[in-house]
Amino acid sequence: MKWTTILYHVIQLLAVCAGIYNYKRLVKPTKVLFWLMVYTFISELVALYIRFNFGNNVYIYHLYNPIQYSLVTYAFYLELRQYRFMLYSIFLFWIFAIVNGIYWEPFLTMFCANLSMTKSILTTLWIFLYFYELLKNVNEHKFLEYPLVWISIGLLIFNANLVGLGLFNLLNQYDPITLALSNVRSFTNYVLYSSFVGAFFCHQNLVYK
Amino acid sequence: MNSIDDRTLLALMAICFLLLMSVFFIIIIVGLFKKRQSEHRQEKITLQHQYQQEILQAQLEIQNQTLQQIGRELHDNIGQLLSVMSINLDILEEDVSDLKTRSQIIDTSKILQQTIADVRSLSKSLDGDFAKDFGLVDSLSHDLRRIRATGKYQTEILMEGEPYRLDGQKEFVLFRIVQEILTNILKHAEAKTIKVTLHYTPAQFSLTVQDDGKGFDNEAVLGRKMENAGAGLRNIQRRTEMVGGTYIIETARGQGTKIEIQLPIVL
Repeated sequence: MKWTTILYHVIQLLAVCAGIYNYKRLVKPTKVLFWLMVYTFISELVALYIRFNFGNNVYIYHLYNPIQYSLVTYAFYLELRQYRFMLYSIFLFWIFAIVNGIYWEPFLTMFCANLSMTKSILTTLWIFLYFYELLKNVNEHKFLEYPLVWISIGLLIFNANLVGLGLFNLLNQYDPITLALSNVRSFTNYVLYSSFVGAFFCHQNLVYK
Repeated sequence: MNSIDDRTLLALMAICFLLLMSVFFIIIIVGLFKKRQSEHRQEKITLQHQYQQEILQAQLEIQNQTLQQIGRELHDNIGQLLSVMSINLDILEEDVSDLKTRSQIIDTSKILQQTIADVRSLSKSLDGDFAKDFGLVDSLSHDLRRIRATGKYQTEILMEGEPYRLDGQKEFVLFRIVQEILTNILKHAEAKTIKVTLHYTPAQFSLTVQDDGKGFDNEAVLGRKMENAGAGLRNIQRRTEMVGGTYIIETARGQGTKIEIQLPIVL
């Protein structure tokens, strides 16, 4: 196993432990993100196991992407309740995931690049909305004392990489085709899951209380 | 370089560009956040200042109304009763033939006249509108005369520079500040002389109240715990700030006290 893969799982494990350690003091959106982290950790371990033992693990991501989108969107919705369309988008995304898995990117054979791209674009939109509301409601708290700021920074960097890969239709490549791309991808993954650690340890401030 | 390499290179460039954009976006957001936070703090300070000003204004208005009410009562009720007593004494004086009794009545009548004059003087001093209507100098002169009339103090009012009228509200607040200082002198200073100086320049007005009393340890007074601290100095400070002024205290034990209030003149 490559050291980058080990580091990737270690950071995820750290994020889960940070969440367990701080669970009682986490606010509702961060609790949702903690459960996403637990699910991600388990899902990645299962994907790793299947990859080593059976080769093809793409169907894992056909389920992982809608669940990740749902939980991320719900966490942001808990902060931005005035944007109810975020909730409706979860339902639409599930329909899209099912149709995509059956017709466009069969879930047993193809990676769900469409889902990943759509998820990245939509969650980037939620991040912009979150920052917009944060700037509208500035108070005495510091920038990094909002857990969703950590998550937004991590997700934004992660999404930038995903959208970049998607633009060149490289998302459905099972293995990254070059070392450089692979390293960039690993880096953005580390940033994303480290941001979860930050979110679980930081002050639990909300834009709207 | 084959086609896969080109595609990979382009993808790498696109990803790097998007990553840089993300970092740039985050930096912009942090900058905007700090700017908004600084504006927010400034707004909060302004609001707090306004709130304190409003509380102080309300306090002054309530105090003024109460003092005016007491002044009116003294003038209209007590003053009137004393006047009736004076008339009755005059009638009694005419009716009494015994010289000794008549002399006593005349003495009592004189004391009564003095009491009526004191009550009138006090009622004017309690009326804040008096300062607004007749000006700071006349009001202060009136108060100092009243203190001098007790026979315990020498008082003096001096004017330097070309005198001018301040805004009515400011004159009223300054009048109340000086009253507070005078009350402190009468209560604590054990002074013999009180000197008030009004210094007029085009850019600044300053008012100094000086006594030759026992003075005090200013640091110790300011450092006292809340239960032991008097409201006098704090009131003077807050009221001075309310009219946009600053105040300086020069005092030491056995060396008297000098309080100077400086007010910038905004044209």
